[in-house]
Amino acid sequence: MQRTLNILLEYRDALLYGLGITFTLSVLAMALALVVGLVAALGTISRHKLIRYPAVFYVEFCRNTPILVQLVWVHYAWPELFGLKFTSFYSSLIALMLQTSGYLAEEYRGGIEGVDKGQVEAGTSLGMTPSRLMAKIVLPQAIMRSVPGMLNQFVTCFKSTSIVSVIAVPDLMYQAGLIVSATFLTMPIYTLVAVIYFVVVFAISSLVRWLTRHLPTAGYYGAAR
Amino acid sequence: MDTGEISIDFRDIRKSFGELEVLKGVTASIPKGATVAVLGSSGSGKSTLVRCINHLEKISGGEIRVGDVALTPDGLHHNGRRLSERRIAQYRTDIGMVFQSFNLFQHLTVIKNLVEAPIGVLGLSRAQATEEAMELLRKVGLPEKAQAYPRNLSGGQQQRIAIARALMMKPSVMLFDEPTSALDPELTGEVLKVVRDLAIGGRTSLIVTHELTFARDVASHVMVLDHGVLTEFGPAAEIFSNPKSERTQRFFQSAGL
Repeated sequence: MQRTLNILLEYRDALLYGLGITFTLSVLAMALALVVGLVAALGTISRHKLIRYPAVFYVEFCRNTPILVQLVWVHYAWPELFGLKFTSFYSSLIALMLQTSGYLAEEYRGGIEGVDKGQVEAGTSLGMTPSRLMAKIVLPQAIMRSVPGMLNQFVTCFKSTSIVSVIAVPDLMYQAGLIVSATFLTMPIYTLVAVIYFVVVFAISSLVRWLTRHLPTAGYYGAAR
Repeated sequence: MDTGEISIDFRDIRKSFGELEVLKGVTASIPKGATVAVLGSSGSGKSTLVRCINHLEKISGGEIRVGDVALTPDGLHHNGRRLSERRIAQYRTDIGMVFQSFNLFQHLTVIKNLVEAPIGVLGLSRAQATEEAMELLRKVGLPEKAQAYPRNLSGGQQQRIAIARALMMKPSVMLFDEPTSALDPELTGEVLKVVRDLAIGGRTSLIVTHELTFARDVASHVMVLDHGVLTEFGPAAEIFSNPKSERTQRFFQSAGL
């Protein structure tokens, strides 16, 4: 027991480094997906078929392929398919972004469709063009309505990062694998990793729940500022 | 487009939603500066008729002339030229509309509700728009609510703000689609007062309403619709004292007129 604890302490830095990679990947993927998802969502409600069809295809593709498949596809197939070769880290980032942006696009779209049509009519009657209405009236409210969904999507994105170890990105999961092969402490190491993921994800989820209730956007577009 | 008072001509207006024909050939000429009460039971097509004027609903047949703009089933025309989407938006700036459910922008404060379109659409400076907005807020009796959000206001207050928002555009025509129907009875008075004292002015106005006493008070003309057909149209005094159809007589009697 003492020996096991000593070994764990010895590998503390490797595990922390892995956790850092996990955080970096999920935050960057989420940030990119927030932008790409919004563009995709606007595409799916476009009046022009040349914009709408590709956007719908993108969103459906991202949502209906497993993240593991996307990861391997980006990393091993894109070099031949598109001539795009990335390091493991960037392939992981792209795959996570694809998956997350697909779901975020649906969050945005739901938010946009949930905005009261009466306000759109009021804006129209004031002479606002459809693009101005979208920018000034619909989107701000749609985004506020999407906040809980976005935060939940971040939790999902964080958990999904654990699969990037299959293409040797040195995240928490990958570090655990290395330590197991060096020490053969399979049970303690993987149990520890499970506990770390649980503690971190539980903390993030709790924060998300708290934010959902306390952000200025909570309830009905937030408390007066 | 002309500014100032404009007349509205309905020529055989038809409107269908799928199979359902809600307007079955309405013809009427509304003179410049008239205040028209549009009456009729629910489902008579009166809201639809008013919504066609600013092209929130597209007519299925006939033609509406609003000043020198012609609204037809295949678009809006001015001097024989079809208006682009941008020009249609511009046309709408001259036609104010007040909705049954207020439709204030929920994410904006009262003052921002008022200045959004004047700044963004008409190109007013923020300073000028804010000054005009504050003056209108004083006129509707709500200057202290400038920084409030719509959700913190009563229905009557929201509707007075919505009227002020429409007036910010200095429209030549005002359309009211049941402005007090969503309000508690004790709040209708404050809204009707603003409609009468401020909103109608010299503008050509159409007011869809169930408030017959109010209609008799302010209207210069009355339209009565029944199942998509115009059963009465003319000067208010005439129609209220001597309605043509028996149905309208009963309608007035039931309201105690």
